[in-house]
Amino acid sequence: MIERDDELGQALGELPVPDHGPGFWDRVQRAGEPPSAAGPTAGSSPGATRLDGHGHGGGGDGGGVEGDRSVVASGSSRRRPYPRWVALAAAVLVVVAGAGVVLRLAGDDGDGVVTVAGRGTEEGPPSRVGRAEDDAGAAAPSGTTGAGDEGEAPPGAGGFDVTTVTGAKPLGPGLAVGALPAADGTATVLVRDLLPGGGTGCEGAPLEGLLVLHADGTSTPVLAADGSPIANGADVVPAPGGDRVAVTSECEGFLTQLLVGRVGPDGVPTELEVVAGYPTGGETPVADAPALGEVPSVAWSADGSRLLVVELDGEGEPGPSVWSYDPATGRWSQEPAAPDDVLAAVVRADGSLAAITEDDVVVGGQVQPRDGATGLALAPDGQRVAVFGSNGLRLLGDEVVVALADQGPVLDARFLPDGGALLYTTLAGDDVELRVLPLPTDLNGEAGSTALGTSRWGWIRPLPDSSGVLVTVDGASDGDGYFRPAVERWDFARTG
Amino acid sequence: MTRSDQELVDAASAGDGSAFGELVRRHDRMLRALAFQMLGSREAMDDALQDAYVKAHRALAGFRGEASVGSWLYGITYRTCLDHLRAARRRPTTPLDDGHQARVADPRDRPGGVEDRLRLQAALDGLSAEHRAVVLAIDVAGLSYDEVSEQFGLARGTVASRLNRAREALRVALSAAGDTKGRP
Repeated sequence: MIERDDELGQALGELPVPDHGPGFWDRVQRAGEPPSAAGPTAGSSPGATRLDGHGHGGGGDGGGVEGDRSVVASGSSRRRPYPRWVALAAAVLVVVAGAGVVLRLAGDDGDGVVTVAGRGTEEGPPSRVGRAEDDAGAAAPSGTTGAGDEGEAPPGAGGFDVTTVTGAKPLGPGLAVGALPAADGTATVLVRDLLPGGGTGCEGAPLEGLLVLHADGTSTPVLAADGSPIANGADVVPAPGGDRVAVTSECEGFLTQLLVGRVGPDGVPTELEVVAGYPTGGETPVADAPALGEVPSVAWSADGSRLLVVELDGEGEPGPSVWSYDPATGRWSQEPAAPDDVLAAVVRADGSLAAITEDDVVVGGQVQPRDGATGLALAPDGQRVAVFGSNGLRLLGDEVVVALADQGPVLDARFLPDGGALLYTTLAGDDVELRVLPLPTDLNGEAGSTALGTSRWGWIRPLPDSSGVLVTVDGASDGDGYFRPAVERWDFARTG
Repeated sequence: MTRSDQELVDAASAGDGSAFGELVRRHDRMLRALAFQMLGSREAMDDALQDAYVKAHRALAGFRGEASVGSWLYGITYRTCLDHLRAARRRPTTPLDDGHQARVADPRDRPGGVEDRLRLQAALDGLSAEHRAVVLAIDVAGLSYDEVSEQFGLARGTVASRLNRAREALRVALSAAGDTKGRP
């Protein structure tokens, strides 16, 4: 349990905080007025909800009058209208945060998975880390099972057991941003941490670089092809098959570099070339690349031949856009058929997009209500898509294949590379439960999932040969009050 | 009689406009501190809080009481400040440095411990806005670890890492301040 630092809190609390400027409360009131009720007496408009504070606690108005201390906040903002997605995101956030899932409109994870909830960035996976403060070792699975509490797996789907869980120890400092398997079967964790050489990074903060923590506790810095460090590495997005990787870096939520390279046998990204954004130390962005700003999702196609990037709009700019990068040619193109208000997207094998928008889930020509969806996972066949979020999981093809809506929030979902199952995590108290949905080819909506065990929260990263999954934990206590990334490897035995 | 936060929420949801005003004013000082330290100027603080309060009012109907009102408002303010930081980055004509300059000057306005406050403020300025927000939330506002995790949309480990890093930097500044206290 982390305790408040009273001494530090008192010192910080003594730093000066200015009062509001003149007329602040009046502006708040006007900002919340319906446009038709504008004016200094709008707060008395019929039907309006008047916000009349009476000075309990808070700071002064800096000269405001009594009328300043009221606000009408029942209509649309007059002063600064928001894009619809912002309002929607706020609404979704409020709703889902109550369910124990925390959302932020940004993020991508890789392996064909993109999310608009939480992010596989510094913030870690899209949910809480269970029991991270309790002990140094990661929690063991609750047991192995071939048949979970959601019912038996469909005949012929095969059963899953977890045979071993290895590597459950805190590795080293840093904020986990991903995991990659090494050729020898060990797992590596990619972290952001301060670099030994120091330097200034984002917004004047100390420079944080991207490093790989190996199973033996050693670390290797991840470098661009020109030898420069990856500052503020945000996401590591391995392509299906594991040979290619995309790496993003960002500052205050804005992309500064998108790099594409390969994964070495030691699990370290290598040959990373900047394909969008700014070369390290450079002031001129990469030529013939889109000027990417706020990028909520980066995802590979199932065959690894295309990298799809969603960029959100900014103030006064047109809506979100979807860009496609071809690593073979180095060319960028804009997706002409991207749905409006797209938040996350993957490209399917037939070239159509599967996307989460403000209001909908769009898979090819199929449009469904968004219904809390915050993440997409593309199946190895390149056509089916798992859509997951606060209201469970849907497996969509050209029609609904499976809908599992009775399990509460689904935090992460990944297909095994061989297409034999979909792995996903749900909340289980302070921990998460790893579940598996075996995938026969002819699912008809009757499928059942099974529970493999519980652990702390982590990303799930199936191994390339589908023999297991990496569970990456961002924040296992090392016993000294510090939190170290850790990775577990869960090996499967599959029967039937 | 002073109404509780939840009573104010209930009253505001039922159409008592004054209740919401009372509610936000009750937490306004804490939220001003967060917004000011994240954004660096009074103008930016006011802009963000204006948006945050309107958002909070609109979201009131969805507030179910799973979180405390204070942490809920804190989370809304935090995210709104991040939005404003990002928007500011798209507008190079309004550099954030303006705010930092103004902020560094502010501690001089208070008597006693000026150098200490400057040192602490400088250390705080050396952190990213996200790190500042986490340490302020836990050590100043008194939010719990879980509240910060849920309201900021951060994994627990990330909260812990940010808090550790921020505290390390700030404790160095505090320690340096303590070292100078005995000097003539």
